[in-house]
Amino acid sequence: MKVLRVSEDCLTFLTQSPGQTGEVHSTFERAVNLLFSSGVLMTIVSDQMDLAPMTFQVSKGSLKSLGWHPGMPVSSSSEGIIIGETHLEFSHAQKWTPMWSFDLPPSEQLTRAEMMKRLESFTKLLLIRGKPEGLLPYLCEARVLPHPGTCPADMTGNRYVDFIKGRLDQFSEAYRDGTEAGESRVITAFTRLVGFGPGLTPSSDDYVAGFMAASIRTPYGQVMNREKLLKRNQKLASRAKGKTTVISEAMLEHAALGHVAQKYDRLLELLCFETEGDLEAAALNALDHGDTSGTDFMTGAAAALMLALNA
Amino acid sequence: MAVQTTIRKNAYYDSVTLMLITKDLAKLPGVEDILVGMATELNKELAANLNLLTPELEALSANDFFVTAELSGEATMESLVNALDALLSAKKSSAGSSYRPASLQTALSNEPQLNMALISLPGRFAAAEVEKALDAGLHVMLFSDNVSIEDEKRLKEKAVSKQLLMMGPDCGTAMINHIPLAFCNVVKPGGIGIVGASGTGTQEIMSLIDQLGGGVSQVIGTGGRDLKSEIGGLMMLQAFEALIADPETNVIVLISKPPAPDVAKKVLDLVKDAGKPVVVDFIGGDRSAIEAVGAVACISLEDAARKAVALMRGESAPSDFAGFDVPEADIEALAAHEAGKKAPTQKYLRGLFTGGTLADEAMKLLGPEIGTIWSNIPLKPEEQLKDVKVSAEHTVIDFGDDAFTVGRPHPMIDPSTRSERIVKEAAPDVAVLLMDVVLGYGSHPDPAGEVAAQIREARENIAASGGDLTVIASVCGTEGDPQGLRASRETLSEAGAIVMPSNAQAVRLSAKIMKAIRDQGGEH
Repeated sequence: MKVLRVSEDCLTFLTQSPGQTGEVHSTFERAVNLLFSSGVLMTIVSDQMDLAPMTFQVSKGSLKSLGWHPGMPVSSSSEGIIIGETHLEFSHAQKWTPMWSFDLPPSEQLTRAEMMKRLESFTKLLLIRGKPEGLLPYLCEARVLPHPGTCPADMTGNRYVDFIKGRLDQFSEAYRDGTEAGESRVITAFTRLVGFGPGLTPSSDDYVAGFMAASIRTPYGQVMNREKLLKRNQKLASRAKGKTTVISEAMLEHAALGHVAQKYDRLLELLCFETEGDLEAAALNALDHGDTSGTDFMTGAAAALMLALNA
Repeated sequence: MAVQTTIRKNAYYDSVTLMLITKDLAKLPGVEDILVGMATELNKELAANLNLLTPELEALSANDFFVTAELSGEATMESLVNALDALLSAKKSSAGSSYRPASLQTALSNEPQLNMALISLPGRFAAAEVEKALDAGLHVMLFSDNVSIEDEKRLKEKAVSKQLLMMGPDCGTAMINHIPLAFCNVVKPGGIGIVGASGTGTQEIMSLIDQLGGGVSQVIGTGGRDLKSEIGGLMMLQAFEALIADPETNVIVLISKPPAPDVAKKVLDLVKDAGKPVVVDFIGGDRSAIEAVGAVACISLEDAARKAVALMRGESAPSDFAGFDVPEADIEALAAHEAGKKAPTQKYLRGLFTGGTLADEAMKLLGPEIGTIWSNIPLKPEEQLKDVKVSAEHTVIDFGDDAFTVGRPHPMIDPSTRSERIVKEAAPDVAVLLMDVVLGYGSHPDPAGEVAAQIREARENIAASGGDLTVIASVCGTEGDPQGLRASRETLSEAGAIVMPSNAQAVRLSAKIMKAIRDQGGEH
């Protein structure tokens, strides 16, 4: 079994912290999570899955057949990872670095009007093709967001949205406030919604991850300068500790820095920067993530971009 | 009623598993309300809000999995846990037991004798995979839709040049060498071969052939666009030629919506040299052109099945079947009886279909009898429903249309969209509700059971307002189907539906009832 591709932050982790020990945290058909004693969560995915932050991909279709189980010892070296008796070396793996187009000259970027147009068609697609069992109906019920246009007639909320929509409003509103008072408000709002909803990464966490990642990316209507925003996001993510699942905590930590799964990364590039590319294909690909996770992430991203472009 | 909780410490199930399990557990008898998830503080708060919080749940941490439920009657947490374990282990075994290669290449290197690929991917990725399969010498069934017509033409030309089948795109039904593929009914083997450009039309014919005592050799799908000029009927012709050459096929049935004239000519030219009886159902198409080449034309899917079975038995093709299995007088009496129970306001028909071709057939047969029929797949553009979620006067809906399926399973798999609509249609001006129930592999495990409660509720609602709702259903399926034809019909009858032997007969009975209502003084 070979390591096919690896995210850049995995390599950084191995270089900076060799000799770490840990254990297999959880196993799925096409993904295995490793939890190191330092608290770092690393994920192995099958050759059918996309990469994400702190993830590497191996040349196997099914990971269940490998016999790895929770609690199995794991250690790291500067060359790779050892699970039980299996050595996974990274030396020949292709490196994946998230896309960042902040520094593109303005002439090569989407104009505000073009970005708005893209956002509108993306939101329309999301409302039709997204899974309404999570937080998607919030887009049609939010008090603080511009109305997204035509909402499907059967998009009438659900028990999760009914419970959390007021708190999502508070979070979205507070996040847009770049003052110190805003920071305090957003932290309070975040702690009142983290870890909520269905899924292994609860819906509200997916929403916040999408919201933070899109807020970092947007070239228009930024809340504050990007460096400060990254710091504020990191503060938020640190408040998730113990309030949600370990897997979700890790996702939020990465999203706070704008680091998201490959399919989300591609979508955000097409929404915020790239003038060419198939937005619909990227959105459908991102929707196909977990059960409601893809939809909830995109709901958060759409909300953040709506607020930014209307600021 | 009692609220109880079960927990799994440090247990992780993927999101898709969790959602599917939640839906399955919620359907168990005695489960009044249920919440499944990870025990974060906020999920516990939600549980409290829903009156589902228990001391056990309160004590859990964010990495623990919980199921908390309000149970009534005989239901116990033990039975819920057993069901949960069964669902989890069923998922585990289904994921672990079957060989799941990561790529076509791996599959072929492990199983070099493979000669067919079933491809079901998002449309934008499908063409490339079909190309690989054809290059590897495999026949292809392409379930995906959203493949461009240019790609379809190119791929079908390649298939034809290699003497391969390329069924699809959007091909939902096939049976090759008696192996059912995708949505397919279990039929007896026999000498009737079918080429179909219509999924549920093909299923209706193959099921009726089976019910009439006939058997089927092959069912080859072509995809709905194959008989358009752009494609030129490439796969209809390829499949037709394959059945002509097939020694096990003695009678051939061709099914399609009316083809482009140039394509119809090519197909019918081939009939002349077929050397076997050919039944052609170009649903609503020109029968004179069909008969001119010596093929047998039909007036409905049922008529096609009846003619094919007669020809298979060496009999001459019977005259068009436009009647009923029971004496006409009984049908007239039934129509008069049903009409007699209606309130003066009840004058409209609503057709709620999961099968597109069955909806289309219903409109073609009903149109001359009742006039304008509003629909999401109208026969005339001016009869397009303005809002597919709101019926108007006489309405027929195809729930398999894109307007209802984007982001959701096809209603034959998950009939809930149609089930919910049944109750909504029980309005004071509605007299007749017409529907299909499609059985077979690929379909919901109990599609009749899925609509039974709604049929009861709809009829009760109308009865409460002093009227009477006639529900007429037909079941497309066979006794060999996993759901069982007889059991499905009984379920519908017990719910108060009149169950007819075919879609065509169900439609004709509906038309008679509507006429009887008009004759007794109503309007339409």
